[in-house]
This record gives sequence, structure tokens and C-alpha cells, in this order.
Amino acid sequence: VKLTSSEGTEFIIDRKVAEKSVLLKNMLEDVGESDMAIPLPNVTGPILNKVIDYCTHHRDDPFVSQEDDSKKVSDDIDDWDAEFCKVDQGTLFELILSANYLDIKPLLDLTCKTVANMIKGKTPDEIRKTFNITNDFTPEEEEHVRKENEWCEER
Amino acid sequence: MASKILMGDMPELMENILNNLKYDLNSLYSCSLVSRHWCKMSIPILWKNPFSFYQKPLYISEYFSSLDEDEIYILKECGINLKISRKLFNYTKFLKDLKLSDLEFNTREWTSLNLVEPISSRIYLDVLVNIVINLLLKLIF
Repeated sequence: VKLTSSEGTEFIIDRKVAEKSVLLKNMLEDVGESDMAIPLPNVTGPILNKVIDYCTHHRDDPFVSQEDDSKKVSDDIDDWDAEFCKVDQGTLFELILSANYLDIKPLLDLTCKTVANMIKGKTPDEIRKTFNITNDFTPEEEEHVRKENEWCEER
Repeated sequence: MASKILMGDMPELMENILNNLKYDLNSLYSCSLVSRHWCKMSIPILWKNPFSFYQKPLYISEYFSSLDEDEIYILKECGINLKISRKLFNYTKFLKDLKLSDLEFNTREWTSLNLVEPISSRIYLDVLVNIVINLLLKLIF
């Protein structure tokens, strides 16, 4: 299967690898085998490269389709996946967007979980610093939120 | 530059991220204080089932902010002091998967905490707790 990234770089991958993406899987089923490259205007070359790495490593994983919410605890990331997610923040968020666009649920969950782990245990200010977020609360609003959720502090 | 995912674009992705923290009360609480958008995204998860966390059930008072005057009067008659003020959210609408045993247990604790004067009669306390539970259930359903 041929794919082209947003800059026009061509990637050739196994159909099995491509089918990790529900978007591509459906496309391939509709169109059938073809020499035409599938354009992915939303995904840059370096990101597509990462995504292909992921799909290649996980090519033989069983397909999980349903939302399995009960499994969502943020500690169980295996070593390969953890290493895969050691990228700068920009790349990590690009990966989330691409996984979402290409509809690769396990990659989406993995990258979101990685971001969640970056949030874990931090104070609001540390979270703002980590992700470069501006506090746009008015002081009154902030006080309200704090007050209405004060119970979180009372054990 | 912060990622647009964290700034309000694609709320479903932010929801996916925060859902990983649904059992982590402290982190969710932190998230609610980051910014307006973060607050809007984390509060529904934090309030999905506060009864399941082992906290002092002070959140029950937040639910009662939407009681009408007659109901506040009932509580007052029961000897429960309640300060009502306008809230940022209608917290009852976020509640999901509530267990009745958690509700009972926590409402009992809340009632004891909010009595103006402690009650020694167990039977009277049971009656009060039932009144409070009924008011709460009326708000929830």
C-alpha cells in the first residue's frame, strides 16, 4: 500500500500494517488493491513515519473495537510503547491528532494515556507550566471552583 | 504554544486524556483549576460519582444549592444548617453509576456533619437521614 504524507513523501507499507488504521482499512476495502498512493494531507512525513513504526510493531495484536473503559488505568504501558512515546510534546500531540484522524484506537489511547501521566500528581500551576497554558479564570471564578470542589481536599 | 487539543479544539480528545485520571481525585481537582476550558472538561469526570471516593461527603452540600425554598426550610426544621449560594455548575447532572449503599452511607455522614446540634437518638437520626436522602434523590432524578 502506498501512502503520501502532507509534504508528498511516499511511504510503502504492508497492507496488514496499513489496516491497523480503520480509516485506511475501510478505504482499502472500498477501493481494492491499487497502485495509486493514498494521500494523507493531515499527516506530516516524520509523524507518519512514527505511526508506521507503531503499526508495524503492533501488526499482530488482536483488534480491539469496543470502548473498553474498564481497562483505562494509566500505568499499564509496556516498555516498547513507553519508549515509543518518549518524544517532545509537539510530536506527542501531533501523534494524538494523527491517531484520531487515521482512527487507530490503541495508538490514540496510548498517546492520551501518556499525556495523562504527565498531568498526574501535579498542581494546577505545574500543569500550566508543563503545557504552556494560560490561566484565564478571573480571581472570583477560580475561588468559586476551588470552593465548590473543596471536598476533594477533605479526607 | 500549547497544543490546540488542550485549548478547546477537539474536546473528545481532551476527554480521552482526562478519562485516564478518573480514579485520581487529586489530579482531577488540579485539572479543574488550570483554566476555564480545563475546568469545563474535568468537572464532569470529577463529579461523575463523588460518592465512590473516600472523602468527607461535603460535595452533598453543593448538590443542595438547587433546592427550592420549601425544601431548604425542611432541612432547617430538621436542624441542618445549610448555606445556599449560586454554583458554577449544576453538579447533579454529572452524576452517574451511583450505588445506593454509597449514597446511604455518605448521606448519613453528611447529615451528622451538618447538624447544628448533635443528636443522640439513633431513631431520630435515621428519620433525618431518610429525609435528606429523599431530597437528594429528588434532585438527582
